[in-house]
Amino acid sequence: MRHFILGALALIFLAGCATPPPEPGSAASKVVVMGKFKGIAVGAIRVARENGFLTAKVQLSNITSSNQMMYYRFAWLGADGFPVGDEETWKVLNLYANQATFLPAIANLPQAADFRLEVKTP
Amino acid sequence: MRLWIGIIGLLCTFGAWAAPKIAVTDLAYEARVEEYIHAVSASNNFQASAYNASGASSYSEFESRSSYIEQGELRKFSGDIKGEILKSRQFQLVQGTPYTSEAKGDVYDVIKRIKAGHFKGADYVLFGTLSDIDFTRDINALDHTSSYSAVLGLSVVADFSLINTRTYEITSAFTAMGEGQDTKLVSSRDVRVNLNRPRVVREVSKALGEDVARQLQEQLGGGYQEPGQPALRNNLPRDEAPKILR
Repeated sequence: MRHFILGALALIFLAGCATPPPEPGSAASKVVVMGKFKGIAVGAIRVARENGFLTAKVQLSNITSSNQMMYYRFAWLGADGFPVGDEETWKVLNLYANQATFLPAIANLPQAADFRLEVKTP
Repeated sequence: MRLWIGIIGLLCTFGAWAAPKIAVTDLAYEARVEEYIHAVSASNNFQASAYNASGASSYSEFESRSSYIEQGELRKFSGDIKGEILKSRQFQLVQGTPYTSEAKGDVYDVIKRIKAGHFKGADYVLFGTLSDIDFTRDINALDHTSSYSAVLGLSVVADFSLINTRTYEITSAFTAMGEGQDTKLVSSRDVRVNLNRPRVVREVSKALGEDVARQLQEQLGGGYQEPGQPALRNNLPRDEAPKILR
């Protein structure tokens, strides 16, 4: 009985410690991890509208001491939160050990008002 | 109780949504009217008989030149201004009291007119004054033909201020122009050419109304752009300053 109560308490405690959903408008809220994403950290994101088109630059850094490969694509969303234009294809990015880089992107349509960066590692 | 709170809330919402009321004045103008009077009277009287003769002649001349300033409102061009304002759906229109010849005050003293209650119920007054009005009538020869083109043109320039009736704050001010013309090809056999004057007036009125609505829109929001920034040459959204998301 005692073990059961302790177990239940531990479960409740762990549930409280679960990572909260990212704050809206933060960099984490723009990144969607599809399945596995290990060894690479997403940093700050610069968002601007330049010449009428939404542009984004995403800071990525390899936090391991081995080379990493990741797949990514941008999903451009309109003001209503629904996608605009066609889906992009998945692209490959290689990051050397401890390398930090910026991933630039330009929306394919001027109607894009928001975006999501979909990432995964093999 | 809840019902009442709901009703009051709804009323507040409607109150906040109601578009501000605007009164549009006719274009105020001031013209100098000159009078010139020249009266001459002369009489001559001469009598003669065998013994005497008498004669009298009189001559009088009266000359007077007087000029006075006439103030009034030009009522021809405000219809389309009102129409375009209604189309923009930013304002509700209220009819103000027109300035007539019996009115005592100065037509340009808009504050006195607001205080006198000429624009009752209006939150704003779009006060327009006529800057210049010019009819032009030209006949130009066309090269290598025996025809002429007869042109009747009218240009009207008016100065507008949108005045808050409570604070007398000028919310926007601009000069708007309306132009219109009627052209006819004329040959030397045409005896008399009548150009379509009403159509020119209508065109001018429409152009003036559109110019007023465009400039109001520019200054009150919507398509407003800062003077320093280059004009948009396409339909792309305006650039935004970069934001760093963390």
